[in-house]
Amino acid sequence: MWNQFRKEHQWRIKEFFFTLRLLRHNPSAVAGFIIIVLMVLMALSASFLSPYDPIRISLKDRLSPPSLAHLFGTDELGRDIVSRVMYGSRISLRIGVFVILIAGGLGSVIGAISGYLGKKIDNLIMRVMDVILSFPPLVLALALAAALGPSLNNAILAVAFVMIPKFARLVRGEALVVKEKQFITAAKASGAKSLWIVLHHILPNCFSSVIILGTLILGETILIAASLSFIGLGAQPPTPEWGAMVSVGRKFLMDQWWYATFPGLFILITVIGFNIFGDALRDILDPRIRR
Amino acid sequence: MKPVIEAIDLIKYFPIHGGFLGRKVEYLKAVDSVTLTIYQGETLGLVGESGCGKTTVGFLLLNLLQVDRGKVLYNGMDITQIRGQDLRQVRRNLQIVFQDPQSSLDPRMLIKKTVGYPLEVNGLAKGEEVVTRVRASLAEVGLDEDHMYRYPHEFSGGQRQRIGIARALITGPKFIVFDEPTSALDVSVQAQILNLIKELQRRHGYSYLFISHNLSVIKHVSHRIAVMYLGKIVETASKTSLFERPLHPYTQALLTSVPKPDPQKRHTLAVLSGDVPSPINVPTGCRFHPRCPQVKEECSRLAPSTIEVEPEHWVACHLYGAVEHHERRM
Amino acid sequence: MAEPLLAVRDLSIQFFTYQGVVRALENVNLTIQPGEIMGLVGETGCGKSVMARSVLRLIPDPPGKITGGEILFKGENILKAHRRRLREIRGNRISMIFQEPMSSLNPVYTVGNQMEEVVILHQKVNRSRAQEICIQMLQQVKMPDPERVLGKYPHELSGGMRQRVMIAMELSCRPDLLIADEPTTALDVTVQGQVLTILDDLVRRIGVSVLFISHDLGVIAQLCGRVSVMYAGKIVETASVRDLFAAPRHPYTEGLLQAIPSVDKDRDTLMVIPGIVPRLINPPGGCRFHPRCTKRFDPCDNIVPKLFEVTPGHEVACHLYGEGQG
Repeated sequence: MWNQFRKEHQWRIKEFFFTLRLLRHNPSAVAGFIIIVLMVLMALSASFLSPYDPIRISLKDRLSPPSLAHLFGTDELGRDIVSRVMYGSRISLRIGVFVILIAGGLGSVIGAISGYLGKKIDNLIMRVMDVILSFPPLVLALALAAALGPSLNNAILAVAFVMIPKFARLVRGEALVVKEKQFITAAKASGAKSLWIVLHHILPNCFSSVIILGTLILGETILIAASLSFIGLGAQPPTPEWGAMVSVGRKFLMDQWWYATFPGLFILITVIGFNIFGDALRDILDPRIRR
Repeated sequence: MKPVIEAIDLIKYFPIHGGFLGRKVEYLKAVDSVTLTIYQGETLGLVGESGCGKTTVGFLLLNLLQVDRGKVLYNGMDITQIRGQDLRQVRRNLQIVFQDPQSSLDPRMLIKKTVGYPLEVNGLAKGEEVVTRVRASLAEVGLDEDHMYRYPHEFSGGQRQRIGIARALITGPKFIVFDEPTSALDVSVQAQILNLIKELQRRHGYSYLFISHNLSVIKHVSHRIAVMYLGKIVETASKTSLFERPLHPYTQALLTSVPKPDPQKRHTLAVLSGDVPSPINVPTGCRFHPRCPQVKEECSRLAPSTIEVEPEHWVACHLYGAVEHHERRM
Repeated sequence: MAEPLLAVRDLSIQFFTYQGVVRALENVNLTIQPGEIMGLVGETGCGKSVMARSVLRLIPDPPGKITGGEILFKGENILKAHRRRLREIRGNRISMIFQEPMSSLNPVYTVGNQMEEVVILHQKVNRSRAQEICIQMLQQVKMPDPERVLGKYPHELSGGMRQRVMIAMELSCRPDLLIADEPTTALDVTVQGQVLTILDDLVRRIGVSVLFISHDLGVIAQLCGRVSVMYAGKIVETASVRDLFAAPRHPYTEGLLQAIPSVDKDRDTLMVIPGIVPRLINPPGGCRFHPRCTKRFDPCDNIVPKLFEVTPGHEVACHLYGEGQG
């Protein structure tokens, strides 16, 4: 089984390691990658490494500054901020990944169909995408989340919806180029139906662009989700979400700076990490630079 | 001999949008009343320079492009009128091999899938049987089983063309269109591919339409040859007749322009003046008249009709007493 | 023998890529006499374009590096010339035309603009005089209505006309050497005939030497006086065109000649050179052609054959013809 897999994918595997090598030599890629890995590790290990239970209330310790017992201090209910930040990473990453998967998946298919079929359908779909894009993303996400009701899953759906047009646009552009290639005509000549061509020919050829867009958007996604929680539409208390923490922490910014600062800092680092990694990835996957 | 493919009065015009509001429409007269016949087991060579419409003819024969007017008969059945499932059935018998080895194969698709999918999408085979047939098809074109598990970029141009041929063969077609299959290849590779194409015909009795702008290549593979100029067929003949007694001035010019690889036989290469006119603004009357070294008065007024000057040797030229024929305005 | 116009001696060029070192050219020797049309023939990847570009030092560095040899133009080593001298030579003493004129002409400037620019730059005249010169040159390449053509943009001209513009432009300064890199490969055969006739005629009248690169042996046979055959980064045979076609010595040349279909001859199967052109990252040892050669024997695998003069003016790099043999 493994041998068959290896035979079929030997080139993909080689390319993968080649990409890794290139990434290794690129400082921003390495930096971004480290950040991402640390965040992921933090999310995965939260349950064993977190010093306290993130929702355990301890009113006698409320609003204590950073100390040896509480490295990031405590919030107004005495909950340890380190633990909340660690568990918060799970939420943020979960939001990021699901949004990208949903938006990327749906957006790519929509874009591919639109680009491949062209003419009226393309026009129709793209105008709909334009309408969605004409709203500032945060505002639209807000409206949707509000309409759906305040919950984490609804926040994910709302942000995903907002991100769909970006993927659709990108994939549509690539589809326009790919559909002129001779292997598409060959597929038609062999009797393949349009949907088959879109799924088996067009989408695989857009794959790397979609991945790159995904990493670049991930940062923006986390920010929007944080903003939603900021307003109370995303993660609901007592779930520790970075944005929510910053929101509440605002009140205490003057005297208890640690409350909003640490979660905010983690938002910053995560978004930057994904962005610079995505940038480096885009450069590396550019076929002109590769050879 | 039985005709496999008969094309009757094919017309294909492409509308060009231009002008201020995109309104003003002109027509690119790519194929203008083309009639040809391909017999069982033979190769018809279609030769002409760029823009003459030969690739369009190839696509029309396979119904990859919709004809504006005219019929294409496959074994007597008009394939321009059928759609959907019926068309897909017929498509198994009519295949095409493309020119550009770079873009004719999907760079992200394993060769196994590229060669095999015509069987899958047509419901002709599944699973293990597909693998067996792919293996067989690759062997026919001289490639091994291992090549199935690779991607196009790992192969040279010549090998990629072989893969393209393997893909065309897998559904067991009767008729194959070769659209400039060796134009992008080096000389030594070209020779291999041409030999392969001829060998396959000997073995399986395929009928071919071989499109090329290269006369030497056409001579090597064809039994009969049709010469195209600006959307029209100007001469059709057997290979020997065409090369020994080219009748149409354009054919004569083409033959003389080809530089012979023999320095003992130096000859003038420039026989025609001017450039190939655009298929959007075609000259009146005989389309070749502005460049024809033997132009007569009537050539600019009347389009010549096609007549059989010798047995199986057809020309459309006023030099050979063509009957008056007024050009149809579209 | 008079001093050659261009003498390439033992030129070696390598490209340093992620995949490895591509040994594009190795110990290439080529000479062009004043007033001759020299052909350079070979298949894709043999290095002929790299050779052509290296004469004008157009090889980007990185990834390309000239690892050895010299290029002597009228006795002066171009590889050692500094920037200003190079600028004096390019377009002026040595000109180059390419296969795809659409990429050599800037699509946003008119033809006239671009042609005049070259003339003004090298001949230091004012615009109206430059315009006159350009019109004259266009007449020399038999361009109908030269004044109108000057006002047109490249995309408004056909392929053949663009090539003629290129020829006119590159010959406007009466260079000593013209390098033509597959100038007619992208043209239709009747247009090719026109362009080649014009080129041949003009070149003889002005007295320019030409290095004509092509993969088309027919064109080489009709146009050139002498020819060099390249394979996998090396020159394998050099001879007068007559000698090469009448009595090819190198097995690769023989194979090439037998592989081309011809309107004159009628053969059922074409002779084929088995195998494919090697990748130049790890070229075969010894004679680079040995894996495909039907006549290979012991020394071919390991010893690199040197160019050897078999008959006056006819050199081959093949162990079949060495000192004490042939």
